[in-house]
Amino acid sequence: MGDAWTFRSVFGGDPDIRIVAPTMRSDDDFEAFAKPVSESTALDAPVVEGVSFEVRDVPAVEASGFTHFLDGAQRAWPVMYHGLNPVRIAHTSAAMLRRTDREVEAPTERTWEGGLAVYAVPEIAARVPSDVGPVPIKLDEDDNTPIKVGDKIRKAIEQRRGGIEVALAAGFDNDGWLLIDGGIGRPLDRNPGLRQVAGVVKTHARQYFKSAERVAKILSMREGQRTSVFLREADPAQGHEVYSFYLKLHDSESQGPLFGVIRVEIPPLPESLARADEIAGWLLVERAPLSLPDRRYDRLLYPIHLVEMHLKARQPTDAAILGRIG
Amino acid sequence: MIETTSDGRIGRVIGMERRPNTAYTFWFWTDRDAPVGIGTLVKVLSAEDKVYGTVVEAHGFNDLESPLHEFLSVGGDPAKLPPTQRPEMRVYQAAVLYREPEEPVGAVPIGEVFLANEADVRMALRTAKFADEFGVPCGCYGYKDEPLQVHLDQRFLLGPEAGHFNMTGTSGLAAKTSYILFLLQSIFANHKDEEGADGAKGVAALLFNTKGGDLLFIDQADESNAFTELDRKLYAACELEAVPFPKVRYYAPLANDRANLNSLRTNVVLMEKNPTRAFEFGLADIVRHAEVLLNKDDLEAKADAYLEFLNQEHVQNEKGRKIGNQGEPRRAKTLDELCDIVAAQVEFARSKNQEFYESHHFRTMQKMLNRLKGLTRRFTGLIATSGAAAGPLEEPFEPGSVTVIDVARLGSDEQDLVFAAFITKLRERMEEGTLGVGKMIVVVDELNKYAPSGGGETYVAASLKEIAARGRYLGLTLFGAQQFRSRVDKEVVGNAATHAFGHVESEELAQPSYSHFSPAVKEKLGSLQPGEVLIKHPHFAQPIFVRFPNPCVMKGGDGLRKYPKSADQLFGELAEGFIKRLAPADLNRALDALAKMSDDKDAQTEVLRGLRRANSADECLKVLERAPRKAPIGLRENREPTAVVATGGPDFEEDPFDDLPH
Repeated sequence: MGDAWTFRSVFGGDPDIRIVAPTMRSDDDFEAFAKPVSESTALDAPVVEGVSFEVRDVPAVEASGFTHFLDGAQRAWPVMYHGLNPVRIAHTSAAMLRRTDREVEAPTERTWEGGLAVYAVPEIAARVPSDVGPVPIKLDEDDNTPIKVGDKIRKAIEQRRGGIEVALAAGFDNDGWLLIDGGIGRPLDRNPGLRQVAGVVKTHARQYFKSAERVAKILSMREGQRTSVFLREADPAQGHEVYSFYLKLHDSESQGPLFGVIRVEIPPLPESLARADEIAGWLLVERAPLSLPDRRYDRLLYPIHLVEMHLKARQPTDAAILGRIG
Repeated sequence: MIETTSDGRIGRVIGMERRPNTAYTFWFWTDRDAPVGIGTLVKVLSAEDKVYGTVVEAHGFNDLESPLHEFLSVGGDPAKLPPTQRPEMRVYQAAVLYREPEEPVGAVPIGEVFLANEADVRMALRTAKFADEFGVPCGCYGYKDEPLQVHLDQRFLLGPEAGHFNMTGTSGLAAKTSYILFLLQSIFANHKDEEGADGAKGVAALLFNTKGGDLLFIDQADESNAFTELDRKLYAACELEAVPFPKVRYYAPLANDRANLNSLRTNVVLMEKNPTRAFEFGLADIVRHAEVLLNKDDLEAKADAYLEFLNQEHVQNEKGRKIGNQGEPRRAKTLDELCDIVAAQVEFARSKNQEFYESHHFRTMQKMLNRLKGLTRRFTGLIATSGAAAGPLEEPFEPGSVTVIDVARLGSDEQDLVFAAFITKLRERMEEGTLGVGKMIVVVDELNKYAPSGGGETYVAASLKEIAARGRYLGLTLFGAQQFRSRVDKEVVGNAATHAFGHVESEELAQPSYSHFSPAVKEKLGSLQPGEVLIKHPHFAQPIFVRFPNPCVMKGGDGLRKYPKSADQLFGELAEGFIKRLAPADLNRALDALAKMSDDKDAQTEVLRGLRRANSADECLKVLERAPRKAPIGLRENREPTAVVATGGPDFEEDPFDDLPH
C-alpha cells in the first residue's frame, strides 16, 4: 500500500461520499460468503466404486502422503458509502505451502499471492488511485438496492480470492500430493493434468443424495469410516466433475451427526479411485495435531489451519486500514 | 532452516500493546534456530537509529493456546508424532546498551535485528573510545569459534577514574581464582602508566593463598589436559601469550620449629628453581596490630593505653626508657624483650608497693604481660625472634611481578594478623611511594570472612574498607572475591567499579543485591560453566557475559601431585640446602663454618633467617661465619641458662585475669 493518499484525502470533499469508521470485527473471513445452497440434487449421485453406496472402514496408513497444502483467505472492510452504495476495501490472498520434514514452510513470492483492492461502483472506482487496484462493480438494471450492490461486491471479492487459489493450484506440477481446502473442480478446469491432488470440503450445504438411506449412511458413519466414491458432476459453481466421498474424521457423542464429516474430492481418474482408501488414510493421519482452538477443528486439518495462519498474518492490520481511510 | 543471513540479520523488533518497547528495553522475534541466547549482543537498525542491546530474556512460542489442545491432539500419547510440526519461534527481550544518536533517548524503533559483529561489540560496550589506549581484555564475547575480545578500561579498573574489582562465585568451580589470574595476566600485558604521572611505574600484584595449593604454582605451566585448544584460541583472541606468570615470589610463614616453612610449597625441586621465602613480623608490627592479635576483652581502653605507652617508650623510642627511673634505659627489639620490660615494670611496682606504674594499674600490666607471652605461643611462626620483620614488603616490588603470600596453613587468628599487617603496610608504603611500582593490586579471597556485612569493625575489615574507599588515589587496587556477595560489607563491594560473577548458587541469587538482574540472567548465572563470567563495568550499560581461558598455569592439585611437600628438615639439612644453592664454589668453607656453629636454637633460627635473605655466596658465608660458635668442649656443661623468666612477688603470683579468654 502506498503512503501518499487516504480515502479522506481523495473523497473528503465530495458531498455524496460518507466515509465510515469500520467496525473491526471480522465480518467476512473464510466462511462469511459460504452461503447455504438450499437446492438439492434431483437424483442420487452415481456411485463409481463398487455397485452400491456403502460405508467402509478406512485401512490405517502409517504416514500421510500429502506434501503441499493450499488455502485462500479474504478480509473486507467497509470504508465509505457513495450515496447508499457501499464501498469496500478487501484483502484477498492464497498460498500453497510445502511440508518438508514435518514442517510447513513459510510462504515465498512463488507460493503466496495476495493484495488489497477497492471494490466500488465504476464512477467511484475510477477515482481510486491505481496502487490499490480498484475493482469496478458493474451494476445491472435490477441492482437497484444497496443490498444487491453489497452482494455483488462480496461475490467479486470471493471471485478474486478463488481466482488466486485456482491459479496457484493449477500451477502444481504433481511433484508430491496437494491438499486443497475446498473443491478441486475449478483447478481441474484450469489444469486437467492435475492428478495428485485432493480437496477437502468442510461445509455440507449442497446435498448429493436424496435417498434417505444413503443420507443416513453418511450421517451414521463412525470415526475412521468413509463412503463409497461417487461422481460429483460438473456444475457452474464447482467446475469440473470430480470423484468424491465422505469421510468421518472425528466422532463425539456430544456433537451432532455432521461432527467431523468432510467431503473429499479427487480427480476423476481410475488411479485416483484406486487410491481412495489410501488418500482417506492420509487424511485420518492428518487429524493430529488438532487445529484447536478453531471452532472448526473437527473438519479443519492442521496443515490447512497453518496455511490460514500464514495468510492471516499477511493481511493488513485494522490500524493500517484505519490509516488508509484517514 | 536458515539461521542468519550473511549480514547477521536474525529478526525484527516488535512492539506489542502489552509489552511496548521502551528507551531501555525492547522485544524482537527470531527464527527458533537463530543463534541467540541470554547475553547475546544484537544491533537494531532503523532509518534513523542504531540501537545496541543485550538479550536478557527469552521466550519460545508455537501456536498452542492451551496445553490441553496438544494433549488432545496426540490422544495423550507422548510418543505420537503428528505429521505436521507446530511452527515455533522465539521472542527475546533485550536491554539497551548504547544508541546512536545518543539523544533523544526515545523508545527503541521497530527495525531489523542483527547479530553484533566485532565493530558492533565495541560500539555496544562503548569500548571503541578507550580500547586501543586503555583497554584491558577481560575475556571474549561470542561463540567459541569466533571469540571477540572485550575490554575493560584500566582507568576504571586500577584508577584513577574508578577502581577495584569484585568477583562472586561458588567455591570449588575454579571460577574466581582462574578469572582473577587471567585478568592479572591481561593487566600485566596491557597496563600503561598514566601520562605525566610522577614516581614509580608499572603494576604488581600481591595475592594471598588461602586454600591448599591454589596459587602456589602459578609460575609453572599447566601440563594437564585441562588447557584446551579453546583456551589457546581465547588467549589469542585477547592478544595474550599463553604462558605462566614469569615473575612470581612466594612467601610463607615459618612452622612452629622456626626452621621449616609452614607451606605446602617446599618441594626441593621447586625450592631450587624459585624458593618459597619466609616472612615474619617484627615487634613493631606486633605491637601495632595488637588489636588483631588480642580480643576485645583483652584490649579495653586501659590495656590499649598501656600498650601505646610501651610502644612509644620502649619500642619506637630508640633510646628506650628506664624502669622507674632506675638503671639503664631499656628498649625492646623482640617480643621476649618487651615481656621482660613489662615484667620488670610489674616487679618495680610491687617492690615499691604501688598499685600504679606510670599511671598504669599493675593489674593491667600483669594482664598485658600474660597476653604478650601468649602471643609467642599462638603466633610462633609469624613473630620474628630477632624482632625484625622479614618478607616481601621489606624490599621494592618489581613491575609485572606477582607476590604470593601463603597463609593456607595458618589458623584464622594468624591469617587476620597477616592480612592486617600486609594491608596496612602496603597502604603506608604506597603513600610513601616506596613500593617500587605505580599501582599495586591486592587480591583477597573470602571477603565474606574478612569484611562480612554486619560483622563489626574488625581491624582487617577496616583496612579493606580503607583501601576500597581511598586506595585508588594511592594506586592500591583491591581485587576481592567471595562466594556470597550479599554477605560482604557493602562499602567494600560498593566501592568496586568492576564486578564479575561466576557460577552463583540460587540461594545467593535470591538475595536483594541481585534483584537488578532479569530472571533469565539469574538462571544463567546459576548454571554458568567454568570459563564464563558476567561482567559489570562502568562503561557497560548492562552486564555482559564473557568467556575466558583456563589460565595456563599449573593448578594447585596438579602442582601438589607433581611437587609434593617435602618432609620437614633438620637445621643442618636446611642450612646445607641454602649453602649448596648459594655458595657451591665455597662449599667446603661454608660447611666448615656450619659445623662450628652453636647448637643454640635461637642462633640456628637467626642463621636460617640470614640464609633465607642472602642473595649471594658472600652473603651466605658472612651469615655462617658471624654465627655464634660452639663453646669449647670443657665449658659446655657449665654454660649459663639463656632465659630468665620474671616471676611476680607473693601478691602478684596469681594472674587475676586468668579466667579471661586469651
